[in-house]
Amino acid sequence: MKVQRLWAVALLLAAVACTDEKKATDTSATATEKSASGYTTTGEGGAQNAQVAQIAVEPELGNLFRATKARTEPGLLERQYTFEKGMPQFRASSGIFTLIPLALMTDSNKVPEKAALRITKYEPYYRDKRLRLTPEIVRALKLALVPPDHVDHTSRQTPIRNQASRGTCVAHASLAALEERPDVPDNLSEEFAYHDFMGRESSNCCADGGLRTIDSAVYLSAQGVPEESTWAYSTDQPKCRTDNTCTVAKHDPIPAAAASAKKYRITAYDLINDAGTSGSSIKNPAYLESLLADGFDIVWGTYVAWDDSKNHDKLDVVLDSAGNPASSRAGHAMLIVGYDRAQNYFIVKNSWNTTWGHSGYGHFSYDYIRTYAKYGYIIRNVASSTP
Amino acid sequence: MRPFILLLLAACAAPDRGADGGDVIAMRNESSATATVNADEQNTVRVPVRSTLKVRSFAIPVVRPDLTPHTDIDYDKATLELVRESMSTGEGEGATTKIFELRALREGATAITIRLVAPDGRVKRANTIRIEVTP
Repeated sequence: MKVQRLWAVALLLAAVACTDEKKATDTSATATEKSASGYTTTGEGGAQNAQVAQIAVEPELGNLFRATKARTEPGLLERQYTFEKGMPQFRASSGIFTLIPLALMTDSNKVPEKAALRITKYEPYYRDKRLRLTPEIVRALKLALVPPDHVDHTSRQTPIRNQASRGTCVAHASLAALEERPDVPDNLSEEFAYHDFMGRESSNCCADGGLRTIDSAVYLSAQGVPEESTWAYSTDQPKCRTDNTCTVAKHDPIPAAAASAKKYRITAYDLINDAGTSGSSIKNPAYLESLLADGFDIVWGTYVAWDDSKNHDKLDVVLDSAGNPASSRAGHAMLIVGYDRAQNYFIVKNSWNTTWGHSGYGHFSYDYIRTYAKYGYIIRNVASSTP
Repeated sequence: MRPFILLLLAACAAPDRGADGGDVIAMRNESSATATVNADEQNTVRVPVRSTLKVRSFAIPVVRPDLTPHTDIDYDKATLELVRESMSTGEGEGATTKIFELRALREGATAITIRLVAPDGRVKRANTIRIEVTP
């Protein structure tokens, strides 16, 4: 009887919370913010992610699944927790601090070794406040927030590109992330982006020493990119002059159409650095899963150490004769667009044409991520402007 | 009196002989005179004998393996000795370079030719670096 009463209270609170949630969504979402899962986000990066990082991953979740009751937290930071499609949403409330029963989760018998907590929504008032979560709530939320077993964003990607013989992977990976967004055209100019990146690096295609993938987030925030039609990508080999400057056939000088075109740039992004294999780190598969489950794709910089003869299978860590992970041969940039936990791989969009990998996508093992991932970023917000 | 004797003994002991017959001074020069030149170097590079010369290749784009160019290097094997080859991944993505370490074996003028060769055998870039091995 007592249990039934608790359930009734919980369901009532859930209904109230869902009603409140709709209002909150209507008032706090901004026009261009989105994630593929349909959730709006009000994030501006750093502060929220720092909070997420503190409670992102716990190694042990056994025997933690249980319903929680409504709590009150009088005074500061009262808020509600609600779930929609299995994701929690945090926001200000009228003083009731509610956690909807975890019975809403139907997959409770599959408790993974690791789970990530993703905060998908804040009221602006709480944006810079420190979350005060009791261990009980943290544990419950983590259980509720186990990302699905499989996430695949390939269906929303633009076609696989072919960078051919030019070292333009960073331009391709970063623009693939931009093009994927519904508020950006499907075909931006990699040629423009590459030349802009090289200019900011005081380099060119004949003196290209490589570009840190995460720097493209900074550059694409400073300078937008026009559509491909204004400056088409060329697979031609650059011609290198004796003074080490270069020219690319048909693309010297920069077309006026590209200079004057409407451009699309990043206005908010989150960098993901290498902080080991836990927390909000590029080497933590659970964290990457949570980002993908929340709708983001991840622009990824990695060491190249896979056996490419197996690009049609799963790309894993290769051991050298001493039993150690093989040395890196180079650095490459791609876009992580999904994962399959059961198969133990991430789905990665490459720019090596459709004949590479699985119709242009690589399957990189979780161990490969843990061993060779360098850094990455997600795009939270974009804008367009005309010169 | 005693410090003076120790100083005298030390002075008499130098130069010592290295394992390869060279003296200690030359070995010190080798470590301190390591020079690095880029594949597009246009000037004559002067390096002391027994020193190590590092030649950095033209940038190699990181592309599909069947499209990846390779770097080769020609040099006078009587004057220079290839000690090691290694890849330098640098800090970024999209390009890498190969480093050739050569030891200067004897004095004289010589040259190194370095090329970036496409998979189809076409030479994409090439340069000859003049080397003067000094005493």
